[in-house]
Amino acid sequence: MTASVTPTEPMLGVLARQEIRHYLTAKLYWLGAALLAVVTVIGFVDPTAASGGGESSTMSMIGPAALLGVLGLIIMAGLTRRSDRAAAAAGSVAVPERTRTAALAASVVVPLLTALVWYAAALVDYQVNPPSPSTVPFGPFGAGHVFAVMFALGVVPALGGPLLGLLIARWLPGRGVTPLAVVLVVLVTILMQGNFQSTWRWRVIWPWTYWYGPLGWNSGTGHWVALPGSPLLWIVYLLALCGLGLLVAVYHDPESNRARLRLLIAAATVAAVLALVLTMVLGLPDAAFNPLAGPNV
Amino acid sequence: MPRHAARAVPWPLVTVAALLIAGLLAAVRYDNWTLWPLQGTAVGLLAGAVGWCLDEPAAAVVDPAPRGLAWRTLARASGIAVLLAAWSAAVWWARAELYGHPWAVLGQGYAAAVIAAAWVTWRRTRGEATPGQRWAIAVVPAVTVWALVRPLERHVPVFPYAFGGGFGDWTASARGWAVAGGAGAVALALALIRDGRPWRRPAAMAGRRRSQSVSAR
Repeated sequence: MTASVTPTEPMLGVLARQEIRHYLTAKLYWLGAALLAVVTVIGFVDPTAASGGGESSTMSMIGPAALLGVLGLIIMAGLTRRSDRAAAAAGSVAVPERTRTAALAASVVVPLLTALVWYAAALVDYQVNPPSPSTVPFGPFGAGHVFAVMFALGVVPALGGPLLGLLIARWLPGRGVTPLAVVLVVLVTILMQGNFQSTWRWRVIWPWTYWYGPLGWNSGTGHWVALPGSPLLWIVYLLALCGLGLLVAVYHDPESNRARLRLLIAAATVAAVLALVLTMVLGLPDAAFNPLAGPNV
Repeated sequence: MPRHAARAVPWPLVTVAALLIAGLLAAVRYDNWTLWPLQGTAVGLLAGAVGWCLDEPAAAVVDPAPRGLAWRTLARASGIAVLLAAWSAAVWWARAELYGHPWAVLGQGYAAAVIAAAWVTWRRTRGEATPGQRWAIAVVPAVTVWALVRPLERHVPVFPYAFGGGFGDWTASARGWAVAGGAGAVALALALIRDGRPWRRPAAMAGRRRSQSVSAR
């Protein structure tokens, strides 16, 4: 009885703490975190282990993106189903769906903090084992550009992956949808990662793509290339997408204030489109090639 | 049996998975150097889809029915056959771009399917209705992530890349998959033969049988 009349805010805090605990006890989270720790330590101790060496931690973002972002998608979808089962078992629902969605979203603090720890380790690795001059940074951009890219590709997916899982679980709760979504996300990501020159201008639409590296190396000259655009504004775009995803997930609750949510969704969409356009227009105007041959040539 | 298979197998999911498997290997065929992680992703998806085929959401109804688990699994294997046909055809189509190891790649898929069937069938014998869902949710992303990151590729060459060397030894990988697939086949056979019966007769039941035989005399 008391639960049904308790104001939403305190209930949200209680539920958020509970969902954070659930995230922390997920086996997949620990599997991902342990593998990420192993990969990071190996990259630190043996800089040649990755792909020939010389690049330091500048290309290590696939680790947190896959191990915290992709696995986070699955973990969050599972937590959402668990929350729904608990709500269904409770019968007359004491907590509205939007509050449970917000509490689930709060649990992304777990992968986010883990990703920030990885980011700190990657920056230390960068300082201890500086990248070779034949990699990045070079010419038209400095280390700040590289750090922004590392943040966008390593830390933001730890936020975006679980939120995507929440969105999928809310709107597409069917059997097999989550694993198929993972495969589709990976398929599109790998096609859009910048290896095909035809995608270099507009690839930033997709929320995970490389900004520099030995891209197109199988057909190119082996020189590292930096792709056009502004990674800082791309971070704004990615964060706007995360906010948009959360709002659409909350919108699933038919009892929520949908008129207000529609306004917020429209605002987040406008912000995302604006940030995307600025990402494409500002920053590096064209692809820039490192004049030195890459470390693997 | 065909009627059971037609109703029991989740054909829409199997169709989507089969098409995606073919699409993933078509991408590998298009550009194996840059899209190679999709090969491992396809293996994971195949394993997950095999799990979906063997789920029995109506376990409470079919478990006490006269048809045993082996018969029902054989009927549901038609879905697995479709998946393996898609996998085999896709590997054959992409064989020229598999760095000279199409048989090793083919074997990865078959071994993964057998392991999936063994685990899900074993869980079915333990009374779980839809273990394939749990299996797919864990295995598809875990294998996908492994294929993307390739951690410890020199020491644990699950999905070797290119012509081996620092990217994983193809021979060691094939050997590992063969051992895992063989172990899975044995586990699957045992699960189907035992069909959930305990290895040892419970002591209470043995005592009851003895007393029944004594009273019969």
